[in-house]
Amino acid sequence: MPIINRKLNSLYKKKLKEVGAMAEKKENIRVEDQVRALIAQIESIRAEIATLDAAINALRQTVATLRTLKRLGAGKNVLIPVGSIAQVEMKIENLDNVVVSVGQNISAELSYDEAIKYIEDEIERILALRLVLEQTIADLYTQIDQLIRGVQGGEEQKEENK
Amino acid sequence: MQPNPREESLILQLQLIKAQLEQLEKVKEFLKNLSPGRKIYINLGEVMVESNYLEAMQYLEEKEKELKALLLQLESQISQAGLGLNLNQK
Repeated sequence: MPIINRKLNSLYKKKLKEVGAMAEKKENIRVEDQVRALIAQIESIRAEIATLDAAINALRQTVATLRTLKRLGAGKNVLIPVGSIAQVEMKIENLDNVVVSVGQNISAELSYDEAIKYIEDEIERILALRLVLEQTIADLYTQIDQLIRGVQGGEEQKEENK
Repeated sequence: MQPNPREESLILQLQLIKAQLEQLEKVKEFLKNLSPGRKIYINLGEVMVESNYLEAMQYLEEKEKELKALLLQLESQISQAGLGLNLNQK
């Protein structure tokens, strides 16, 4: 988790303790529960983002590997993994065609350029989804902020009225 | 009223199946637009079998039937649980 997010999370957890300390009224306890629920949602979305990041890295690695293989040229020997501990030497005939998994257990042969484009489009699609999740996190932090300010505002009003 | 864990699990399963059906449509569309003569493979786990457009479409249509049957079953279970949710909600 990036440092800024850990700091924000610990800031909100500190605020939550303050809200808890002020939680004499049932309403404040309800707010505390809402804030906890929102923090849990944020952490769940962060886990999703980590999964997407792993997928993006894997796809970028795939593109890099294909480009390197293309550059090395046809006729080159490569080691193909067989299981987790063995490798077998094979010769690349050509890299004009690439078989790409397109989902639902189906793979299709594409030209090298089509395959690169397909993978890059997939990376863009995942990045767009990642952006939506980050925005959702930002919106959730705004909700937490509003809840906490609402409680603090209520307490300040109570003090003024004394 | 918040759904209980079992109901939440049903709703999650429903969403997953809808997502799979959506992906299935995209794959069918992809195959329709694939240049003629391009090889198609079906992934059977350890082995990928060379196939063709017709076989692949048939495979996908069978999968679609299974998923739709499962979807109906889940929708029925959710209705019986009395959640009264908008099942068209994504």
